[in-house]
Amino acid sequence: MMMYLANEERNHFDVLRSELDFLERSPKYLESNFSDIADGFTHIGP
Amino acid sequence: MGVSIFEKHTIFVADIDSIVWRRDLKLARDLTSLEVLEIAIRAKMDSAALYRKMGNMVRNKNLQARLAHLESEEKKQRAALERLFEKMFPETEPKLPRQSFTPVVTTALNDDVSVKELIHAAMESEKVSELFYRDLARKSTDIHGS
Repeated sequence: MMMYLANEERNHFDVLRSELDFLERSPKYLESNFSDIADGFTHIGP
Repeated sequence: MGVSIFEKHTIFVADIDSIVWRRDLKLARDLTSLEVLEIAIRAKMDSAALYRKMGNMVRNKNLQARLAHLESEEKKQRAALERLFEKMFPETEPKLPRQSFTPVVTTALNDDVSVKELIHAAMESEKVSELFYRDLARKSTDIHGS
């Protein structure tokens, strides 16, 4: 159980880090309403 | 029960890399199985609240969906921990810590902070929790440690 939880926490951390990377590359990420932003992130913005 | 269960605990918000690489968190003392479960349940509640707060602050549908998924997972894990608690301590009501064991989470939940700060807080919480569970798994044989 403890190892399962530890691994889940790691997975969540990785998801958050990925989201933070998106955010740091463009603050518009938070404001965008595009549902496909994860796949097409570089298409957003000037 | 206070929040200082680690001998060394620092707020890492300004430096994500220190979260990634830090490996020297050690429990300040051995915790009972009951305490472990109470802390873990409380941590799951706080994490779910963090993801819910973030989800309410962002407009991006993709990020909203990810946060909703994370919140859902935290709730499922909380339920699993509560079932385990009930199984192990059928005559006992859990006494949850009043605060999260990662102080930055308490701050993030109670104060007016940005989404970015919330993400940092959640990352710290996940990292500290991972170390917490790994440390317990190494020590524990009575709560399905491995």
